[in-house]
Amino acid sequence: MTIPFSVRESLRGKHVLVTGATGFLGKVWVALLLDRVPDVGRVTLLARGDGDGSASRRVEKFFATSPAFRALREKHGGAAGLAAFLEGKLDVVRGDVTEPLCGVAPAAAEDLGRTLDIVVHFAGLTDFEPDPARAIAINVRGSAHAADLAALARRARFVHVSTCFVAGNVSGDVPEAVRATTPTGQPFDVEAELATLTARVADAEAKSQSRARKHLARARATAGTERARELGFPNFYTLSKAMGERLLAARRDIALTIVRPSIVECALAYPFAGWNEGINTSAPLVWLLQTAFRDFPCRESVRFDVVPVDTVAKGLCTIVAATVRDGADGVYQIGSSDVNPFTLGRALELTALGARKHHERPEASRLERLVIKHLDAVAVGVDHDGPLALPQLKRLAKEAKRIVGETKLKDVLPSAIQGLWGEALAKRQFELHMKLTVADVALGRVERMLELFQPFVHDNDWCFRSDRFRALDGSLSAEERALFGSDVRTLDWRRYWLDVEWPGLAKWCLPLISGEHPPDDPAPEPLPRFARERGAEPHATEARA
Amino acid sequence: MPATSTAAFFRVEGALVARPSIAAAAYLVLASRHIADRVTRLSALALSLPVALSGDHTTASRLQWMGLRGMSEDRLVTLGEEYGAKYLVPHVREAARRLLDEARRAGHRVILVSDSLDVTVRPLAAALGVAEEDVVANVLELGPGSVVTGRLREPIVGTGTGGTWARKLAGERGLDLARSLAYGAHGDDALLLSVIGRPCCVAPDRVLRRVARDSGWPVVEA
Repeated sequence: MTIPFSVRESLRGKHVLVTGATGFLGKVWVALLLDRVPDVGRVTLLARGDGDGSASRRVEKFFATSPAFRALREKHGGAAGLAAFLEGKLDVVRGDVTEPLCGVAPAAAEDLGRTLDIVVHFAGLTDFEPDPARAIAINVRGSAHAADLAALARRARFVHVSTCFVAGNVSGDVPEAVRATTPTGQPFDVEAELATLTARVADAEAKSQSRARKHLARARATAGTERARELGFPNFYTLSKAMGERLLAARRDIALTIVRPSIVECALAYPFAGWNEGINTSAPLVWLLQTAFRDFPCRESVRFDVVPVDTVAKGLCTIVAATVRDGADGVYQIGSSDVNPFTLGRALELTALGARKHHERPEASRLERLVIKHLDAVAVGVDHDGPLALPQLKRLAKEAKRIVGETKLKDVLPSAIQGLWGEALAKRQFELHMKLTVADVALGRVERMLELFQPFVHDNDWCFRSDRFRALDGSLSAEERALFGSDVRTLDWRRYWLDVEWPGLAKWCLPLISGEHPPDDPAPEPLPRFARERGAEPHATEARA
Repeated sequence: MPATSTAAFFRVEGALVARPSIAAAAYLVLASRHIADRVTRLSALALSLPVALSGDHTTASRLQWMGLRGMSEDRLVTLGEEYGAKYLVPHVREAARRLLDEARRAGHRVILVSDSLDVTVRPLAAALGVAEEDVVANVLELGPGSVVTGRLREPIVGTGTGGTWARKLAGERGLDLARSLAYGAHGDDALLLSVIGRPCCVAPDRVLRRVARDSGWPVVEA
């Protein structure tokens, strides 16, 4: 007879160290853990400091003001009540994963290790085209540093949060296993690859025609992306995460569990429906499709593996609990493509339908309400060159810019008109030229963005198997399934995309793309102090901005 | 099933709201994904008008919705509900709302009958507190990939829906038609009203007004 598995019993009284708790998924996971496993022994957050170097102030601030903790604050009657609940349960270690032992002093790390049951490592750089050195420092070496901390613990258990897309450019079933080779089938030796990358990046810098910082950064990022593609990865982010996994999988001093979520999107219900943060995978696409951009290069049949952030967070609670009781190891993928596939064609159409609703809001412009609302984005081939295709729009913008820029009004206007309206027309001409310049730059950015997204929306059709995860999820008792169950089979994509994802992105993410700030929860004055800070000794790493 | 309960049948088009179902079809067609489809499908929709005028309501209903062939279920449901929320819910006749409340207070089960699509009537039913199973409307058939085939599922609810259909429904749901109410607005609704014990006309057209006068049915002006 199978004994029902209990997340709460497994984590009761346990000491958990979390890295990357200030990120989107990390925040939701910590909030959910404290909400649904209130008897967890101790939660230690490894965090960088804020401006004045205090990591605890930074953590306290987001506990008090981040919407991710809204449900937890409400449960405890506000920020003060939450502070009382967290007193003695939550502490903060100032550190940085890019430093050895994450910047924690060896003595403090030893001290921490005496009570630590598990390390959950969320920290990561999720830029698709990052500076390779930075991505390596965080996603590769940073993971090793976090594992070093775990290795000091009395029970060296380590849960590493990765991504399904380490699979690289392949189509079809992706199993829950760490690959020994690159997606192109070459041996995957991380140290050798790091050496190659360092050489490639140095070479790219040397060959850069400009020594300006911006151009050098561009050259480094391009070199990283090119190398990632040579090895069969969609971008440098996925290569760096794959290297991190390979490095950890080779270690024998930790009990390793790897969790790979697919595309993590707006919360279904926790902390509340629609919660999202930052610019993630779908936000730029949704933003693009709610503009006048119509011809979207993609393959409609490609699976777009999306999973709500709280589904991932609940699954992570289950996996962490199972790891603590030595009932989990290896790789667990949390996705939807194998059991409830959501195709890109469907995502595209639902996005267009959501945009239609979005353009009816009172503050929408007349152009949005009367024209853009009625034009649906449609899927086209990557080589499509129709009148609304990007290459055509780019040509059009460039040509229009050239004509407007080169036209001399005094040569084309009759002298009478020149005398009457010459000045006003010249002003209009200048404004139009500026607008066309902005459009030209924006179209260039869109082109770059589409190129970055092409592996996800056109080239690959991944089906991430989640059989191991589903088996673990299925072993929860009925009572705990209500708290931690992560079954995506019943997810209604239409309702999710239109009623949760779209409004969530519109509120929390799209403003960021437009250069605005999404709303935070109002901070209580003064902020309650509750997070004890450790590891602030002089040798601990000073916080980076 | 023994007839133990009574119902109040409300014809949506005419009695509850003034808009005919062809307006819903036009709305959906004009919101097709591709602009070219909007034009061609609208032409197909126009074909249903002379057929309806000729009196063949079932064929007219088929033609009316045929233009939606190829539309995804997502689009159909989303836009259908959008239409219902925008153009049906806010436009329920005051008189009809009063009659509906009275029928409910008298213990009648309220049944909405519409020759439009179930997806457009759903928001109206929700707004009026009518259970989903008490909405009798047309349903479009879905093919592989949840794409509309353009065919209506049988039985087709047309403007000529009448006695046979009502008696069948009464049999299935245990309704006593003799003690039930029915509200219609168009000449074609006479078929339905004639088999119900207590018929009533709401803002009737010329034909139904004449039938009401001849049959002694009450008329409510909206």
